[in-house]
Amino acid sequence: MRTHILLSLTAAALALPATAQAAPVPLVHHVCPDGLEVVVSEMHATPLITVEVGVHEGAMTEDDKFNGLSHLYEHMFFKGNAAQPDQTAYMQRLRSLGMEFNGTTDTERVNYFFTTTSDHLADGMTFMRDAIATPLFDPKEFERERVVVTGEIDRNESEPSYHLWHSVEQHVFWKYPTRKDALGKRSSVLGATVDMMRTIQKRYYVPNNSILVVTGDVKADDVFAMADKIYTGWAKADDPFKKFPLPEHPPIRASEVLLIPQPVEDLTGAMVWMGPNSVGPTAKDTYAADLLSQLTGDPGSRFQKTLVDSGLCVGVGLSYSTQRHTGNIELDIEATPDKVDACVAAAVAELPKLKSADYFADEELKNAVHRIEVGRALSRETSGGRAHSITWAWTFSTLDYDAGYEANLEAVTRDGIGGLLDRWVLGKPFVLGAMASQKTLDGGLTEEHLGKLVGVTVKPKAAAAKGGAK
Amino acid sequence: MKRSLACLATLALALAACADEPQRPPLMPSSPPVPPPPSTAAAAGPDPAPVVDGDVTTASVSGITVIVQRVPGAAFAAGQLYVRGGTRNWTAQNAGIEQLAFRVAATGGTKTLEKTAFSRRLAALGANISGDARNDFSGLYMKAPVSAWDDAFALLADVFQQPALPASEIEVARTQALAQLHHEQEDPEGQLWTLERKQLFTGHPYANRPIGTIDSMTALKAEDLGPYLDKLRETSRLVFVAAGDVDPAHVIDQVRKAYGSLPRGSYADTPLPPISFATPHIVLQDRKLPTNYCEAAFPAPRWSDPDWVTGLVAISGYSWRLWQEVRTKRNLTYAVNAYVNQSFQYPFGMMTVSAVDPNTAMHVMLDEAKRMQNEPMPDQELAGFKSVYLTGYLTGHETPDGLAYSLADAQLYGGDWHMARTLPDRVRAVTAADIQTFAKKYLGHLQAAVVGDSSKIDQALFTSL
Repeated sequence: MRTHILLSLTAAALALPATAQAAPVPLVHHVCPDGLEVVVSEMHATPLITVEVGVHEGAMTEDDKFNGLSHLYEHMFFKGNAAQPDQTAYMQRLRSLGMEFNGTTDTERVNYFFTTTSDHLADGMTFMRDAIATPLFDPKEFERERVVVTGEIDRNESEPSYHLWHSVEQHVFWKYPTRKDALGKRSSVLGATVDMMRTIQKRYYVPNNSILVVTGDVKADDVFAMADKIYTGWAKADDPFKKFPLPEHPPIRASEVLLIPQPVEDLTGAMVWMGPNSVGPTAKDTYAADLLSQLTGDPGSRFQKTLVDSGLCVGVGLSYSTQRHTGNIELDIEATPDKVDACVAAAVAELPKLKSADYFADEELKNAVHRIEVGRALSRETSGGRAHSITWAWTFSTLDYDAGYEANLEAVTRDGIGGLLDRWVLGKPFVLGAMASQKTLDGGLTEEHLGKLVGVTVKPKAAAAKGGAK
Repeated sequence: MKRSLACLATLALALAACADEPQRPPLMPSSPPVPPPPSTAAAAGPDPAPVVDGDVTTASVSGITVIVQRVPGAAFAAGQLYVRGGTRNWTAQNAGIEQLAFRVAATGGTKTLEKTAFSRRLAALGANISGDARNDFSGLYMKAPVSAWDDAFALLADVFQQPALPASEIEVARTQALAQLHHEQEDPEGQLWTLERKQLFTGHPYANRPIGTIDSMTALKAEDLGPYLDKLRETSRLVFVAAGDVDPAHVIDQVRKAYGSLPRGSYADTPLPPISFATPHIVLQDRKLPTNYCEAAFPAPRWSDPDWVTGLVAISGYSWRLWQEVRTKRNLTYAVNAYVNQSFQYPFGMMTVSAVDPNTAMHVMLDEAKRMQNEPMPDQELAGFKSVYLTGYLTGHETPDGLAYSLADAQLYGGDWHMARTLPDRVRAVTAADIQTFAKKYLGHLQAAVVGDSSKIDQALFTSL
């Protein structure tokens, strides 16, 4: 089966004279007999190719026992398989093919990618097949890699911002925190077994739960023919999400305020609401969320002028994270210790004003749409960037979502932004996490005090510091 | 706070940027002995005719070096205006002024378009303009859809020629720069780089960082920025690089009209003293962390040295070997790396690792350095390293801005943009004997730094090479 769909690559097309590059770039799509989706985007300017596989997997599938194991699995992908007996051989082959490589693990996607010169297309496709379909999980390699992953946890835990992020996520997704925590816990990583890797493989690393993307200096027909031949034998399995349905995150129970002491100078805060899903009836709000993020981030916006240019905050940003299963809407702030109260209060006070008819000028709305579209085109300028964006769209939303993205974005109105705020932000429960120095805390900043600034009643802790924040 | 977690550690392939240096694509090597940059204190007189060399056209416009690469079919185009000098332009007392001036120039509007109107104009065009200062030069970087080139170029010209520099924007940028300086000390990698810088650059002009210090940034006066920029507006300092589907003759004409009437001046890069690697040394900073952050700097050739390209390949190979030996075989770390820091006219090599057992990790790293000195690299392994390096070269050239950065770096660091073109052939020509000679000459004189549990560090080991 082969179909043509349109990838939203309208490179800077809006409001600009038509150019050869302004037309949407066709994405060519094919499904192999075992259900593997294959997408090709031809780019002939540079003799490079990227071969990427995206697997619909990640922290979302992890309970307590499996927390962090999608990530550990990702590490094991780069080790021995049926064709390469161990990692030494694997790396030798990689080098002989001139490959740059990497993989990432997130909440809803694990992706693996190789970029090399276009003369290595067939070898690259084969190398990917061997790695994705036939991992050995050699016990000795596995044992060593568990320790390597704890080294990654060590590095994360050495950064103050990790503690802010982790604390907030644990409270937002209070019932199933592991399903948003791709890094996972040291204990679950060190307790992992080869059998658990096999469980992940059998459930999720199947062709009908994966997408193969090839971008660069290739011909789509060649790739499809190779895919049919090379990926035959990678056995299809049941739809993992029908067999092992994911639990739905319940809403935030009640607004909370968390104060996280860290060795930092400024206060950094993250106020998080549960937001819409990219798939299903709430998807329409995701476009408004993206547009609002762009609008409020523009340095000339009223939002930035009121909060940053005024000197109240060091920085402020409103963002939405696209997810099939509950994307966050997040207000991030940074304030110097002497301006914590003023910054936090002003930022919270600004939120309902975003609904005002005159908050954003027509020109700003139009420009924000254009900015997003240009940004998407820029992120897809390289073969690697384009491949990542396709697997990202396939896992975190759908290719149809991506293809219709710009039309939906352009359709967002002020009412749409207001509706987004009403449905997900204003008056809705949130978690505010704030990372501050012990000195700032000793100066009187308490959760109770922060709670007052954002309209949340926090019971004073027994050892709460005296006085008010500056 | 969108964290995309848990990337497999990458092999940095001898390419890296440090805290002071914005992330840039791979830089290009030089060819042997290089003439001084052609724009140096160019004599006044009629401009010579542009020179066309393949898809690159160069010109000298009233003393400004202009380099344009035509990229047929590219949807975007990049224009980059460089102002030479870097640390030569400022002192310890006013360090940070050039970065602040360039950043505010790029964000604060112009004398004809105040900040909001300027921002909206950029957004309507789909263009970006940013400014930054670096150790040896500063830059204004523009990228725009090719159909918006003329309008975006006009904004870039105004940003340099007549920035508004509003006091309010200066305060915002100053506050954010101070926050950046604080964040650097909160992050172990930032702390490590600060330590390393201190020992490498004490007494050297590079000690005066482009971002300045808390003290220098706090002391800067808003009214000083305008006069400071005035002094930089001389054509002998300027290099303009463009890449995209733009007509080179048109770009050269635009540069002439925008900047050609500026005073020529007599700027010439004064040579900086070399960085001293006389005696191995270590500096330690105690901090309670789950792991220990370690690095060691070592000498590297300059862009114009004959063994520059050999160094890039050798350190790339060294990095692969560290990954294999320290991480894969011995699970001593998640993050180990080696690279050449190319963001200085005097580059240097770095080896880095974070490890709970830093001595064992460093021991293996030094053993691998000695292996490179004592044993020729097998041909097949060397061929693989070169092959991956060349893929990296191509990925760095996929975008117009990547191409422009590459040409600019070759011109500004090496004195000849052609170095950006000769890299692949020069990489292919590197032999195992070249690598071994390089390793013997450069892998040593370690200047080490550690942030973590200093009681765990075997200082003699860290300074043993």
